[in-house]
Amino acid sequence: MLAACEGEIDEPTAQPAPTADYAPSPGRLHRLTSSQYRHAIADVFGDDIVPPPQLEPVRRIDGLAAIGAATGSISSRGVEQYEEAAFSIAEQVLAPERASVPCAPTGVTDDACTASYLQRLARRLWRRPIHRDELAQLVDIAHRASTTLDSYREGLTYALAALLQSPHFLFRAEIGHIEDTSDWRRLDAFEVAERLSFFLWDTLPDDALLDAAARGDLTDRDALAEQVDRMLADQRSHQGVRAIFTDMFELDALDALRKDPTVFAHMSPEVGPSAREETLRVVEYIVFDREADYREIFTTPTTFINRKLASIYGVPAPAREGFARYEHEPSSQRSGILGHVSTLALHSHVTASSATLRGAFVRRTLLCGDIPAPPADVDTSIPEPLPGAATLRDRVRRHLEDPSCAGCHARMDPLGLGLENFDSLGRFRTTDNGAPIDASGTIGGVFYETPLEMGRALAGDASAAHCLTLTLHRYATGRRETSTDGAPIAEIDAEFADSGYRVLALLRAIALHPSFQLVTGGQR
Amino acid sequence: MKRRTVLRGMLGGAAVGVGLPVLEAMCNSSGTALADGSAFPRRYMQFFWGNGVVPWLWTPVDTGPDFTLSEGLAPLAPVRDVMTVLSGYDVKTGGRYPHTSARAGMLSCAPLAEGEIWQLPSLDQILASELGGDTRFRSLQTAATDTDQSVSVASATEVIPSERSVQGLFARLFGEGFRLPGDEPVFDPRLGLRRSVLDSVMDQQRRLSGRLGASDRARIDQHFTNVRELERRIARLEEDPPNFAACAMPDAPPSSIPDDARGRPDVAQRNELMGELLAMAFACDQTRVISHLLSPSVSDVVFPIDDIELGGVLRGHHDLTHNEPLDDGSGRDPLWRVQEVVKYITTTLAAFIQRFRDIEEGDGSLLDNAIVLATTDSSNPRLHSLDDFPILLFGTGCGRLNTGFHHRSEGDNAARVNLTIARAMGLPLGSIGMEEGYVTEGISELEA
Repeated sequence: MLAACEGEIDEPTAQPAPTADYAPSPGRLHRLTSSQYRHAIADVFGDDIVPPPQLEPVRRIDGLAAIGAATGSISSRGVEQYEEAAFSIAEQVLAPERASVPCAPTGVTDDACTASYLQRLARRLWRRPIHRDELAQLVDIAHRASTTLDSYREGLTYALAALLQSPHFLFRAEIGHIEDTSDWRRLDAFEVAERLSFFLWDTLPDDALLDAAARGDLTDRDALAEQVDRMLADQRSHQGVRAIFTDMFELDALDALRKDPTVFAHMSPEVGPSAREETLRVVEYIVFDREADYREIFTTPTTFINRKLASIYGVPAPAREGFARYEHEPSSQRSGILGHVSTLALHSHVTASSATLRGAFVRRTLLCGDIPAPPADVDTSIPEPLPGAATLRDRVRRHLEDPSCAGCHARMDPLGLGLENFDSLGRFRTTDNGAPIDASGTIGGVFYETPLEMGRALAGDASAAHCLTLTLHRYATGRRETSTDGAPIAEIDAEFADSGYRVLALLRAIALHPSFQLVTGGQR
Repeated sequence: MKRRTVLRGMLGGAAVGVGLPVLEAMCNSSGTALADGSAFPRRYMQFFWGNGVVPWLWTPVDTGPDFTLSEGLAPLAPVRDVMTVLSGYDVKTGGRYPHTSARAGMLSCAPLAEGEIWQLPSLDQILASELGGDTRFRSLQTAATDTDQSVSVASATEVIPSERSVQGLFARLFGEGFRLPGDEPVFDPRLGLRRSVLDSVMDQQRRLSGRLGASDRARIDQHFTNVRELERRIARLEEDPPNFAACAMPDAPPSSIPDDARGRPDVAQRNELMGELLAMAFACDQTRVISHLLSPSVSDVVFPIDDIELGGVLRGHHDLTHNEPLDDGSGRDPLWRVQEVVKYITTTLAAFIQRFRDIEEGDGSLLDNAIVLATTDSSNPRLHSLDDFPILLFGTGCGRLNTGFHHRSEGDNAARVNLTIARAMGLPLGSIGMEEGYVTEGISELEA
């Protein structure tokens, strides 16, 4: 079905074609997220180069910043911020005390030195070889600036700032080239390289990956697999996995976590970032250290906490500053991320817990279920505690009895009520307004009575693993799946299952699936 | 000024060109002329707050110039002579997304598409695309609370984020490069070099754009437009600054505005400091269009108001609107706590408006040469309702609008307010909005 790849690259073993009812979706223009931008700068220039804190954030769409990055543009304010960042970085990089220019300039201008410097940087920053005319334009900027300012280094700053404001740095296009007479397009080798590296590493390709792209290795299945395995074994895959789960669980929102300090004496600005770190460490523990079944994320008693979190959980504090491993007792009822402050506090109000917000997180984010939006002109208030209706379960009963509410709320509230043993910050409790809490419910027909049982029921639900496949597929492609993605997703799901639901195997299956390299659209 | 301009809107992401005849963006010269005989520009500002009002404590009981201020509007008494209260106008574009549909409907006259995507630009951006070309900043977006929300939307793919730091706003407006009227132009070769960098970026964008599919091309073209604007902004620093008598350098704001002992932000103080800078941004003609957000939708901002706790604990504004007990035995209005927040907001708004009024311009004030639309995201926030929407106008746009009265309609389309404003600002639009938000008639009672 697929013709051999054409062009200047030697064509090795052709890739297998995806199944018959498959059709690719249009390629997308992906904007670098601020985390990718920061990782890229650190990779190319070193950790000591610090971009300014203000970079225009990507807006989350359909639950993922990765989709927002493939949907939105850069605002007028964002353009200003990127300009400030570009000059700030360029001035730091070219500061006189740093010897980062590879040759000694022969005078106030030295076009040959400038060209070799920019050519090397452009290959990393733009993730492809720079064209001759593009290079000439940048050399010219540096030449004129050096002459005007009577300083080689200062002039070079302008060319570097140009590299960093370029659409070739700030965006990642998926144009590809035409496969045969159909409108299918195969991504070119450098486009595949950057798709891989931003997916698996949350940063730019390294030199080895760019070299592999230049050699044509990324169109050969075996050589591609070798690169993907190398990338997954590389330390940067931790950064990549952290970025994936930060996006999926909206852990970035923890920076702005607010709780009423008069109710929660534990509350401080440190809580949100600490809670994020806990969840990401548990993710790394399951994904890398144990290479365990993904679904243990809902059941594991193992966690990593600092003193602040220990005080919220009411458990012994680590002996030293920082994070230490801790095993929850079953009596704590903390079951994987369902018992994390990150989950419990983020999906609550400033003071009160919320069965609806927590239930929506479980249903939508963890199980990929859809929840219709509530209709307008509906009184969404929850009655205050009264004698006979003290607990949240009693008070939200109307959500489930009134048919106009129940259509949506039945998909959320019962799940959220399973976590009512934890207050708005995530502290354990057995009563709500003095009445005992009933945390029972069902997931996929499995009855549970405690948060631990809920975690097990969630892990056993067929949607849980499939939802991770869907989410990672969305994350990698920057779009929601369509009906023609059914076959690739089923194949990826099968590989995920065969691996015992190991996340690294899932990442590998997506990266190596033939559909990963195919798009439509582009040039008219 | 351009003789012929093109207003760009979007339908399904594609740009739609609407050819417009000559724009009357400037006030006429009678009484409001600058020293050199040219006229003052008209300015537009939208002032947004989240979580609605308490409708029965908001709408005045009587209409006309002698209307009685309601309890919610009472704090606006000092500026009532320059305020128009509009009531009985409904946002007709539907409430698919309870907390965001109405504000998009109010400000863009269009329903939100799947994914809470705006289908038309917000009013400030429609105006900025016409009026923004002659100033250093095409438009400004600010927020007095910590939020990543913004109600300034240029296209389906471009929500313009709000500057929420008072210090950041000061640096942006009055920091490096800003010059007062009469200051000597400073020749700085770096400005020209920065522009040459942006030229190369635009060149790359142009070439990349041609290789992309239609929707991606629209996104890169938008980036291109914004880069070109930045280049223009730099070029403007190389010219003589606008010569406006009222333009003065504002005091630098304090380095931080601390929360109170209970962790509540000083919203009024932050808003006051921002208002001072924004008023000067207009007075120095740095921009003619501002979108200012006092507080976001679904905001759990805890306003620093004492004695409105629920069960002894502080509650965020949105939480309060949904969960205040309808009968707490106090004998007060069922939503008296929410009403306290509404009064805090109108008090803050009154001080903000007064700032613009305190600046003299020609024979009148800066406010006389501006139109301010103040609105929110629902009428009754408990119900997310879209009917009888809270809408206030201030200023006359150099005599184009009547002011100082309460005008009530019975269920008319709120989009007509926007069309009236756009026309008063000098845009000869035949219509505005789409679907249920499409209207062709302004509000004659408002037009002077």
